[in-house]
Amino acid sequence: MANTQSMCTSFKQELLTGKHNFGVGVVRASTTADSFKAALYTAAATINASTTAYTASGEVSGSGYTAVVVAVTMSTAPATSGTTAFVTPSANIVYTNVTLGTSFDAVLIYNSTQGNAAVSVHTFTPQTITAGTLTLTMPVNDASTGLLRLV
Amino acid sequence: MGMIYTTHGDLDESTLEYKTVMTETDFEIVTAHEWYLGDELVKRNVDMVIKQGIFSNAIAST
Repeated sequence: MANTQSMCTSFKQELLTGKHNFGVGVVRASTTADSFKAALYTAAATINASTTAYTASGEVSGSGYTAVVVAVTMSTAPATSGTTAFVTPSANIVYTNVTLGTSFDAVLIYNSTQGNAAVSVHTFTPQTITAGTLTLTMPVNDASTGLLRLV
Repeated sequence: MGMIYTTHGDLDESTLEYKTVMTETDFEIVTAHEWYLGDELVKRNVDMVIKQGIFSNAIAST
């Protein structure tokens, strides 16, 4: 037998479910999952790893787009495979009947239960939408492609 | 063909020219569906398949 320095895989998963607290945490009203939302940002915005919370600065605007509305469905609990913990929204993110004439290239996922705290930023090829629908189809929820992975 | 919602309201799709533009990167596959009334873009849908999300490497160096 041999010991191996490692970050426990169970710990990674439990980070995704709020089990550990090394600092000043938050009082949770229940054990249920938080609610998450998505926001789109123009290519001129500065949304990145330093972003701490949802901001309207740089967010897209246009016909049919309403800020702080689009929910991100997280009905599939975080899981592990090998030494990776992962979680992926269980439904696609869809903006219907919008016109977004200014190119956008990022979506911010944030936690609307916890004061709109930022979760992740996903960038893509700049797009526009004209009287149409944007559908962001989520990747396969596994250790290789899941939307959020702790490797 | 039926009516579709455009910048000019609902239009008969048969009166429009339809184009599909596909692009792919390491991270996404984008299919843009475009409808034109003459030279004017009157509707554009985008279906984006995210191929992989992002990861944070939590392994301590050895």
